[in-house]
Amino acid sequence: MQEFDELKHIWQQSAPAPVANRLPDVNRASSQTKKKLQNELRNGAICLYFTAIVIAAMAIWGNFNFEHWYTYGAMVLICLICLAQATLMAYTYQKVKQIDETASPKQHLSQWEAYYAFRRGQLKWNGPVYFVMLNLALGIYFIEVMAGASEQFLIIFWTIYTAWMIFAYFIMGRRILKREKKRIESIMNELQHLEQQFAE
Amino acid sequence: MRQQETFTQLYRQYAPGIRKLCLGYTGSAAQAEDLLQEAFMAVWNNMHKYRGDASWGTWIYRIAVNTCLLYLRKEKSKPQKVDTDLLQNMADEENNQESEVQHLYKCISRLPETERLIISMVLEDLPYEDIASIAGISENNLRVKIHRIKKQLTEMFNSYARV
Repeated sequence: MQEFDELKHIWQQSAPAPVANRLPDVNRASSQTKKKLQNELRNGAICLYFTAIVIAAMAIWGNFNFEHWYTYGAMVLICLICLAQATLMAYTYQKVKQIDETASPKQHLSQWEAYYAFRRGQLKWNGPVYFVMLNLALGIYFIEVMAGASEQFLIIFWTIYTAWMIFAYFIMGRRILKREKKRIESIMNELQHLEQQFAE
Repeated sequence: MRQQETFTQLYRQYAPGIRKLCLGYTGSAAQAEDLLQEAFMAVWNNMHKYRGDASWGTWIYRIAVNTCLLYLRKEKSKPQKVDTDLLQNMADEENNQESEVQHLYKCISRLPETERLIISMVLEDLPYEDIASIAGISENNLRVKIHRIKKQLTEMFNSYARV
């Protein structure tokens, strides 16, 4: 029958591998949840800001000479949607950045839980609003751009465009949304389970 | 002292203990190595936040505990019931002192998540006051937990010894 002190003796006898010459490379891409999330959000926001700038530059200096104001309006709308989405990503980035890895485990876990609760709320409206608004703007833009095309081409184009949008929103989008919701729920359950262990 | 020098010194001083903590938590040397790297990357990224309220050791252990708890979420490793068949196989495979160490790690990795971390720190002989500060719980609550975990771990280890 082993007593706990003997287990302690076994533990303390175990010699860990030498670490002196194996410093972690702090510059390597981290697989840490926090750093990874921050990088994804920051890069996503930068890409969207850049896209908005490029579209705005095209609208101003592109010499498209569109006849109708609403075509430029559509370009402005696309810019605004990109800017709004980028700002939301930047805001989410800040929320992740504020999670304190040096806080007590219980506080740290509840900070993550708060983040995932925020993400769950965001998931409900952000994706659908972004999708509908962007496609509305693209639809308006195509009215003038496609004006000179043959009737046959227009029928094919709008059929493919509409079919793709319906597929992307109702089939692909909903499936992704469902999966993401399930993932967030599972993470939140695990976080609550861990938090509970500290309370017991 | 430059950040790099302080970091190197802290790594050399605390990495062996943190590695054991991670090993007790995951029960796998490869995962423990991965966790050790992640924990020290978090230490590097947060060094500017250190105010000296607690010792470097307490501060680093706390970051390591937080890293471990989140890592588990990714790895989906759950505490498992001790399987006597599995322990029998393990006993057949290894019969030296090192095997006792390995079995101790395996037994620890079968405890609930927070208990693995607490008992690893107890085995490492960290003062109860420090462990309570790292875990963010009261010392009284910690003592109750430790008493329960010690009993559970000893029973688990002895059940291996019997097979």
